[in-house]
Amino acid sequence: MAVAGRGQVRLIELMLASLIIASSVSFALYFARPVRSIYIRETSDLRRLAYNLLNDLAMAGVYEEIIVEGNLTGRPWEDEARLFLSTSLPPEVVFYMDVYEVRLEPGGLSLSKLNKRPITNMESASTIEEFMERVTEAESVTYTYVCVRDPDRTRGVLLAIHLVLGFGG
Amino acid sequence: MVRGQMLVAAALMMAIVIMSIVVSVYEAHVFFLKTRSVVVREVIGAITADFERALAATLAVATRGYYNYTRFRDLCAKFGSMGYSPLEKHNFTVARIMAHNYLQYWRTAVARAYAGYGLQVDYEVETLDITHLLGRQRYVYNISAGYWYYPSAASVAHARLKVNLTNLGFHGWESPVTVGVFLRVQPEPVEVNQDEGWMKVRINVRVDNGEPYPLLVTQGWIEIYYPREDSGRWTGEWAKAEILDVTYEGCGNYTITISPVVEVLEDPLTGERYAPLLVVVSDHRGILAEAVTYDHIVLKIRKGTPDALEYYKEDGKLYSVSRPQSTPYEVYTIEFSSDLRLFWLDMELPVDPDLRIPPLPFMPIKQLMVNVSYDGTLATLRERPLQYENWTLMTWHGRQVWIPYGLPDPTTDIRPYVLLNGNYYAIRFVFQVPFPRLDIKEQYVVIWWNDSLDAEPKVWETSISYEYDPSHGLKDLVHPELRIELIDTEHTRMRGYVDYGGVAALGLRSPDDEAFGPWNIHAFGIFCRGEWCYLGRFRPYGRWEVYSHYLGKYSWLKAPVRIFAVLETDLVASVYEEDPYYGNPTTGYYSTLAVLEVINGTRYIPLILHIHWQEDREDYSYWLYSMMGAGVPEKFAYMTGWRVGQLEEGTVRERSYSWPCPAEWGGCSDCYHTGFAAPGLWSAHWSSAVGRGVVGNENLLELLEKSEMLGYTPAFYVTRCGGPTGIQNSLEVKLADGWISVRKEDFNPLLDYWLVLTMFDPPSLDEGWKGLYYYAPMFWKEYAPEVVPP
Repeated sequence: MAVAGRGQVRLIELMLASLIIASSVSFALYFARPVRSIYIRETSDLRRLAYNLLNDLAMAGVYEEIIVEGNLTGRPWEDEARLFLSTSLPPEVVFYMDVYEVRLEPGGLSLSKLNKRPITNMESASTIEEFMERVTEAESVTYTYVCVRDPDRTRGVLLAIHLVLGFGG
Repeated sequence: MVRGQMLVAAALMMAIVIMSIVVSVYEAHVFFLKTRSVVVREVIGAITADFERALAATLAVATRGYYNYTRFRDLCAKFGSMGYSPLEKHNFTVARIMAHNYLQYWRTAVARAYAGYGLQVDYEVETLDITHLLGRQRYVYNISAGYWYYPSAASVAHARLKVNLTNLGFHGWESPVTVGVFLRVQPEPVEVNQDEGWMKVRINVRVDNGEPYPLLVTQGWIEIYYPREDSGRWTGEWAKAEILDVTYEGCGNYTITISPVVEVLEDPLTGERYAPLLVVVSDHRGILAEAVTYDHIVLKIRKGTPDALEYYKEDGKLYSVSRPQSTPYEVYTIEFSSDLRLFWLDMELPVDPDLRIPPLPFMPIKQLMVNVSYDGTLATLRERPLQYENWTLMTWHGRQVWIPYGLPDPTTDIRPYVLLNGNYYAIRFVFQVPFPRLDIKEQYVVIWWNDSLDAEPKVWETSISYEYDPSHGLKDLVHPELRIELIDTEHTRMRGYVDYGGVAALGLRSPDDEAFGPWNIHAFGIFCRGEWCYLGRFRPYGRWEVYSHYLGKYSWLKAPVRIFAVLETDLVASVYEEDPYYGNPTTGYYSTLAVLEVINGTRYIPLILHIHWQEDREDYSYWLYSMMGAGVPEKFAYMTGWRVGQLEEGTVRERSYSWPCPAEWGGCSDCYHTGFAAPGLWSAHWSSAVGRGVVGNENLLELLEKSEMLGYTPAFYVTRCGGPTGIQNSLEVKLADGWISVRKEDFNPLLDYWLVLTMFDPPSLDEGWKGLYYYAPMFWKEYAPEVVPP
């Protein structure tokens, strides 16, 4: 009888210990649950995509080839840039890009917009405001680029590229 | 019971540990999400990449401007607002200021662009060791540096980027950023095909931290230059080779086939073989590097002076005098021209046909250096003072004459020569080659260059100077043994002497400023009033132009080797107040082009003279020079230039400035002006302590002989009296003593000669002239030094 009683106590103790561990694990997992991780990942991916895209274009010398050459020659480079971005992005992603030259003037820095027309694959948007109204989720990034490639006279020109990526509404 | 409590306690402990682990994992996860969600990595990457580009842009400007500002004006001129100007194209300090200004602009722009992240961006300049990439010990000290002109070259910029993204709680990011181009050229071609006229050269191109650069042909460029040849000699000019083929062999190695074939030389110092080539590469960012397959030029100067000299005495016997073993004053002032010719005095030195002198790299003057041996062995090769001079071969009254026209800005590019308006311009690099002992026949000369684009012209100590202060009557060239007062239209009165009224002459003075009297460099005719006649009426009238300092930003830097005074004038005037031509110059006589050189560390002062008669003229006597002595010399001598009477050619005639009159011609009063026949290559006067003389060259002798041939009387004269001291004891050489009708066609072709004022120590009062004679052959064409292969 004494042996049986001792076994029951052990059993109870074991159950109590298991209960403590299980409840503590549950408690920890409940309070340490990742917050909004899915949402964060989605938006940050857009931003990351924007930076990666802009960086890839930089590495490939696209800014000199399209923007700089286009401005020097007067050809409609905005269309080329639109085509380039469209082919580089997933089809469901919409974009809007403005390109500025950062100028050093006596009063300080000034931005001079280089594109005469919007660079976007959302045909109904002619301004950034219109674009933003028509997207459900968007991220914008600003990227700076020092021109280093030919032609000589544009080496050192500093571009500020404002790119907005989003999903069409 | 106890056991049960232990079990529960253990479970509690496990629960606490599990909770701690889970919370830690949660925190890490949250931090990861935070940083990932705001794309820290991408932002940092974008900023770093842009900093690298900004750094590259500044280096492109600095290197392109340094290489050839004019060619890359499109780029370089844009950076004028940041302090970069064509005048400072060869100033890497200014390039650095420009770089810092540009990076400041970039920082401001980037901080604004990434303001949402709370960006703080800065950079720190730090030292970068590039020895392993360049193959010699070199560093990048202050943001950028260039090491060019050797077989391996580098252009590098380096800084440590520091970034904080304060809004994201991301601090302390640092990244060393290096941009650059490293070029290595294999000096010897890998293959030469003479028949087909091509050769293959191998180069290696790396960028930034030594990464091989495979884009040279597709996105960068390469230019290869070879020495242009004319009449069997290299002209100093670089011509662009035709690139027939480029093969990329991996690891940054390229084999380039070029045309034409260039002769392969062997370096006498190292034994290495090289084809003289200059290679310039640019990467896609515009960063340039220039390499040359050799980094020095070696040659030897062989003196031509004899060990013993012969002369006749008036007894008609031939004598020989051995030159002393120690010849400390046999120092040649050699001019190495950018067109690869060498000069001494007013003559081009003969170059041994076996010696091939390759061009100087395309670089600024300031890079150049020279080493010269002292005892003829390599062991005593030391760096010596080097001076840069602008010279032009101009057509002066129908004849070609070389004249200096200034000391250049040391930061200007070396151009082998420039042809402009019919004149030929070149830069001369002037250095001295000593032959301190009789047995030293040859000296090594190594012309080399500094590879650092930060190189500055070296400041050398010099004992010569130009003292100019019109308010105190000073226009003096100062030499440790002699002070030469430049008398001219600007400074008409020699101190303590008469006013020359604008006539150009040279006032000789002791170092203590005591006047010996003028050295008149040319005079024609006499001026008579009543019973009095004044000698040497028409003398050059004009102004001595002095070149003693460099042009440009180094105008504070004195010429270390020699100072020039140049007189160019078509006018003549009289020094006599009674004469209507006093202060009233006229043309219609002769034009004068005179170049005076006061040279550091020597005891000779050359005066190169070109005279052109504008019209035929007749008058009484024609002086080629007269040099006063202020009564200091006790004896004089001259050497005859041709046989006359019983005197053999080369007879030394020595006399005292004594009374009674020592000569055969002229008046013999107390203040005699008396002369001797057949003046020749030199004349001298001296006391027991000091001597001075004038050594002419073969042209002078030819001129005197021509006068003799035409029936005139060339003469050596001395004048006893005159000047403030009352005693002169002069030396004078006349082209004609007595009436002469100067016809242009007779004399103009011969009136190019030099006179070298030489100071000497007389070995004794008698035969003191030997002190001059030991060194006189230095100044004769016959004994001119030669340029020979080492």
